[in-house]
Amino acid sequence: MTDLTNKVAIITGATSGIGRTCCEVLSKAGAKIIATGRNEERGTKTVENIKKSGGEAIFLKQDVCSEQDWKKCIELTKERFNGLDILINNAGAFFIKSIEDTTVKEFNSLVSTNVESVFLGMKHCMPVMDEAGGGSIVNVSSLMGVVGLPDASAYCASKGAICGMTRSAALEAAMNGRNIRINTMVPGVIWTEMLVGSYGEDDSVKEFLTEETPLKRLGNTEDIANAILYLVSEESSFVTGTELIVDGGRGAD
Amino acid sequence: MKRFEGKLAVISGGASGMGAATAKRFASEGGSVIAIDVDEEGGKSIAEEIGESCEFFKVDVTKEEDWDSLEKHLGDKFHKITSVVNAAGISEPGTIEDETLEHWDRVHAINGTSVFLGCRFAVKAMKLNGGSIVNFSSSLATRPKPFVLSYNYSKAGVLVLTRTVALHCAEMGYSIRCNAVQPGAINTPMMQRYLDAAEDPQQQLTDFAASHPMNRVGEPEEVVSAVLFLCSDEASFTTGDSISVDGGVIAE
Repeated sequence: MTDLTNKVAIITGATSGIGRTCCEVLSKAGAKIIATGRNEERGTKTVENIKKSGGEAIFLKQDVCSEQDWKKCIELTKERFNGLDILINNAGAFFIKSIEDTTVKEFNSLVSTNVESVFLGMKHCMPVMDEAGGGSIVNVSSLMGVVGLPDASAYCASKGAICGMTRSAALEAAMNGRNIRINTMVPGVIWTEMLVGSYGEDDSVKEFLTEETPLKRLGNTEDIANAILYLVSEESSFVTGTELIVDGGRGAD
Repeated sequence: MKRFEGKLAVISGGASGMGAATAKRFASEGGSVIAIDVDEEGGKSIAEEIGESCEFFKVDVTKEEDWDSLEKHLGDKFHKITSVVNAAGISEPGTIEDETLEHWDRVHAINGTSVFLGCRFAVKAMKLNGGSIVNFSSSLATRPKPFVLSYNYSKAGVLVLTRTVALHCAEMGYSIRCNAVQPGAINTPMMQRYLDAAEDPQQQLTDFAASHPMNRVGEPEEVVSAVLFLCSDEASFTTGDSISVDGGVIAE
């Protein structure tokens, strides 16, 4: 089975949702985890839970759009774990608003959170991975980066950008003979804190989204974490520049 | 607990290449395998190598009656199938100028019709208890090369067939997932035949490698990992999708 013993992984947006589950799943596979996020309390809890299960993890409060914070993150990673093998650029935000109602400030802020963060993560982590002989990066996009959703122009733009940027970075790494694979994870509708934040605990929205999904259920964070585990492990050693869609069949519809 | 304990897979093209590699790993992770192939000698030898968890049964995947006799042969086991992997296929050169209708039909029968028959067999077998179908497409389905016209076409067909079967099963409420893999050039007997036919096999291999951003061809095991991920419960929310295992071709 998938073994990540002695691998070191940075996971952003680790204080909730997909990021938190990724920390748990990768830790269970043997990886040492640097969990980053803004919410210190929840981040500390993520890390404590891992330690309780016998894993190794540290939390770092990080603004993923701050280059300074990325430098700190790299320093800490090197100091504590001596290198880096895995990066999961998972941090992201979401809002629902018509194109007319979205202000330029709101648009730029979302694109910065969702895209600049991924750019900075790759920019600062790839050289460290080179030092360790290579690595694997997963950038978390969304089905909304591949298909459209009304009233989500900023979100769709940002998630589409992640797919494009990942293809470019993957080719750049492969063609320069660097042993770094970079792929996009494309989740369908996963009912996490991010969606609750936008829709509230609204059962009618949940029902509608469930009905829209061919498998007639919403995804859970484990569905995505398992796919990410495949992408970061040696099992996917010939896979780079692609999009792995886990969406209960919505994309095929 | 091993990943495929208590699971039963039917794997076409099981006598060689990626089909055989899938059979070996499925069995090594605790599952039982019915390897099917038109190549009796190769199939029997793989089954022998794997041991008691693998049985070989001769099937020409293009023939409806052969799938029927497989069903009959399996008896009670038919509804115990949990995975069907449609790996059988051929690749032979032919451009739009020199492809013959006869060859076109043959490639389509082996790469396309076989997957239709395999999926129909799979849905009938698994609609009560659920399961997973994995079909072999190719990176050439979305990034075609001019020298293998019929192959490109047949593998593109497999992608839309996969999505259609996935949606049908979901709509009917069967818990059957259907997905595809899209390998690049992989180090198999199929590729070896191209190398053997080349004037300079070493140069041909270098050229194959260079057509992938990672500048190498893949190994069967690397594709098998994706196939088995899709067969497993880890992929329980994945249907109608395809996984590229192509050293970056998809990003170009």
